[in-house]
Amino acid sequence: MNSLFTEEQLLLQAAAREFAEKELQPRAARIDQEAVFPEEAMKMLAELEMTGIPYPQEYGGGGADMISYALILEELAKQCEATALTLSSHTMAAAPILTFGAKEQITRFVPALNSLRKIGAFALTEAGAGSDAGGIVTSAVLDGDDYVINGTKIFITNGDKCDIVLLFARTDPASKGNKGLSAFIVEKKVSDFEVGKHEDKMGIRGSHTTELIFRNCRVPKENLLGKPGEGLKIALTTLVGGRIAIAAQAVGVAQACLDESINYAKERHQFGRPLASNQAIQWMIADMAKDVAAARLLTHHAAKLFDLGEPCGTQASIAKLFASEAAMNHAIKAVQIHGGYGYVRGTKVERLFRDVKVMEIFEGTSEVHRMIISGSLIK
Amino acid sequence: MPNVIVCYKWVLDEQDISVNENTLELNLSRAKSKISDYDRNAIEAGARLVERFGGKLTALSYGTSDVKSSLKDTLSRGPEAVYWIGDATATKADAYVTANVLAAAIKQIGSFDIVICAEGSADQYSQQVGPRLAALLGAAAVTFANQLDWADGQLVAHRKLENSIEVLRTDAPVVASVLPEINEARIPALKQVLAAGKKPMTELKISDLQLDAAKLQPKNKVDKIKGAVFNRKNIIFKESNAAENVSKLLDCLKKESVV
Amino acid sequence: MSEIWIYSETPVVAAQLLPCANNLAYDDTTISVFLTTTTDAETLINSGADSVRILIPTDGRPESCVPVLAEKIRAENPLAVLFGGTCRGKEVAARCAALLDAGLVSDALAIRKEAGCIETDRMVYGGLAVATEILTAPALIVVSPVLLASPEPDDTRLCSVTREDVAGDGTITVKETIAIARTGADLSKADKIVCVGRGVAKREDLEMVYKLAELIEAEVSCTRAVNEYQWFPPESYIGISGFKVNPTLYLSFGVSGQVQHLSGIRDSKIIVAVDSNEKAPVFTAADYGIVGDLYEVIPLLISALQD
Repeated sequence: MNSLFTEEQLLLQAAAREFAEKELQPRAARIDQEAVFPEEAMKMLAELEMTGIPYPQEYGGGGADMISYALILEELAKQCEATALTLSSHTMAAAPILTFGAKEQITRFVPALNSLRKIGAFALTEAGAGSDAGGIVTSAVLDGDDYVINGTKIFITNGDKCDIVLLFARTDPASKGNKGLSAFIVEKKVSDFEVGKHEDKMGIRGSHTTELIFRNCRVPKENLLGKPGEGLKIALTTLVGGRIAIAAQAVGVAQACLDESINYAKERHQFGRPLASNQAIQWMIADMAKDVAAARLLTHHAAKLFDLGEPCGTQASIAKLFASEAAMNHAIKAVQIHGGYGYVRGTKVERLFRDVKVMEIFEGTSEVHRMIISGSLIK
Repeated sequence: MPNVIVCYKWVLDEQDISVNENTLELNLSRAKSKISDYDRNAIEAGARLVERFGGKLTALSYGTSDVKSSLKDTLSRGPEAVYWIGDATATKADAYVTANVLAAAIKQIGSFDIVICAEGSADQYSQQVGPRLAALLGAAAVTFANQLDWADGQLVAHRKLENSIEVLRTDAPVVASVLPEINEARIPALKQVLAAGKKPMTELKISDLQLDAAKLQPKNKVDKIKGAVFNRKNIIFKESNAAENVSKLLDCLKKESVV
Repeated sequence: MSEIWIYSETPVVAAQLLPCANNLAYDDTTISVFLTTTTDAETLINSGADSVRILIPTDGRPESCVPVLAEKIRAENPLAVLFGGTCRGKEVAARCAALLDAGLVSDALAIRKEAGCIETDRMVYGGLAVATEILTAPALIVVSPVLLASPEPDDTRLCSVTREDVAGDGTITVKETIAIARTGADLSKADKIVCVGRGVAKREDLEMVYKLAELIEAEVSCTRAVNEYQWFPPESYIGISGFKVNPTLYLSFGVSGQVQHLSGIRDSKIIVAVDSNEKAPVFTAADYGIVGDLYEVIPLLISALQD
């Protein structure tokens, strides 16, 4: 495996693994049980210079490649998906600013995000706009030097903790669907908005998911990102990297399911022998190993294309689709292998099962990804 | 502002070494290599000294050509440069040979204030190289250190002995060997990992070190290395009923008069 | 006429090296013991030493005697020098070896005469393996505490005592010496030890462990991994850079048996292990064991012992 990675990538993987085993593993259960935002872990990740991993060092980023980012996220997700998701959602806020922002916007916002002086969030989803971004009704109306925002975003990760939100709103009142949307960099300090409902979720409970309510919220016009009407393009471009990040996390969760299953199968004895001596269990483990290996390679392939600057939207969808479905299947098998213990709080696979389901839903549902993949082939 | 050299060893991970049950021979073929665990603490000790008091930290290692794989790992942990000797003599080298090579290398590298070693390596734990280096380099020796400070051009060290802590001050040059408890080694930060490859990595050849052949041969001959045998009774109770297991165990322990 | 020398800054340790030295001696071998203090020096007389040679460091540090000791070894060429394996002893041995351009065996677990040579055994790879070495004269050996034994009284030897002062070179000054206040029991002297490993999930679970330990009059310790949870006094774990113990009974719960830990317990008289993984390495090192859940086994042991 070593010739597939550079020395630096392997050293970063080792550093992330050591950090995750030492600092995330002891905290993960409590983070889930009490739905605690992983604040300490995020601070430690900032000290390790891992809160802006794929961005240029010129702007305080890590200057690492997407494959390194994927390797790191996998290690974090293995121990605590809530921390990994908090990190990747935060990281996502800087991407569109770097790609579409004016120099002044980049220098104003990106270093602060990369150092974790400010926490980021990405606000696209609304009650009427899940898979269909065209259903966005949050409006942004130019009034003098400000845009006035009205609307409610839902299911926003880091919603209650974020200082900077990448917000997508409709600037052209006459438009419908995907056209007429624009992107804004909203600073809470300058343009106050309300944090609404905190979702009480099935899983990844340490990651905070909330409503954001904008009532005549004034955002300076300098905070418009890119041109009016470019909103959807900006969102979709950003989501490509976001999907690779989610795929990497799904690989981590799948690997954790496999590792837990192997350990349990060796220790648990029934009928005078370990579970692992039964072929049925051996085959479940073999299938899990096969699928997580495939998921990892698909994720790294998409990451490699991303690093080369080549179009990788379809690959990102393939990776995310495959990895999230594999992880779900792994979690089902893992709980099954653990028997009754797999169903009770306190057993790691019980948490993994609850964590993993949403991976087939967010960052594009599996259905949306099937649309993207077939759409790229059948023209 | 001390000029510090830290010595480390690239060792086989003992977790990957297996012992043949019948012949007791060691199988090293699947063993991956790592920076000796206790050397991570030594490197960390050097890094902290230089971060607190200024100065320079250089790393040095003697091993087989495999040691090349350790260079970026080491450089991501604080040192600003690394010197390395990769030579076949390392395969059979003991503390005598290692100290001879490292001392010669340090003389080539130039003057220093402090040389830091771990108290022992993860594979041999001889606890010799540090004090040997002190003698060979004509430097003061400080062993079993669990705290190092620099004040007014002197090293101030705490030595953890059996029943006391000896607090010493010494002029440079000094060779300090440190206990693993001296600190918790850092996890390398991301930019340190990426920057490692740009730091100077200098190879020193054994032939350039001007050592007699006799200095490169261990004085004691290793006759054999065999897996450690425990010679224990291995009476293990595995009934599905825990109470049965407990009762059988207690019977045995009572017979042995230990309960 | 050959000589075997013993060195320790701690006279009690020096005396306990005499049986080992006697084992290596030939009929015409004399045994000289080097000390660095006159305190307790009389324990060496009538214990089998032919001479006691005391080097008194004027700066109070035994380590300052290294150059003088090394020079005497060079000039008088003893067959072997046995160094007591204390911290100070190890430093002195290594520095002497370097000055003498000689090899040195550390922590020898066994020392034998074999066909006119001296042979030693010591642990390597964290305790996974034993290396056997054949030494050339002067055979410099740091002796592991396991070989220490009480000397037999012997008043047949004329034991001369000499002393000389040794000046230090002034580079090292002792600022102070602080006694270590041990917060826990001295594990290296414990007769019975209960050890907890990673299989014990929470600090609260230690309550039942302490209860059991109390019933069998054992001290409680842990592995290096558990030491990081800080449930025990710092650095009180058993392992290669931690304590080595030799109790009559060692009983472990949830300890898988990493090589370094096993090497720390191998001198125990009876080793008992309880772990849920049948394949855990600790079972190869155990006399008795139970494959099972410690959360079931400990309460059962407690109630059985209370009856």
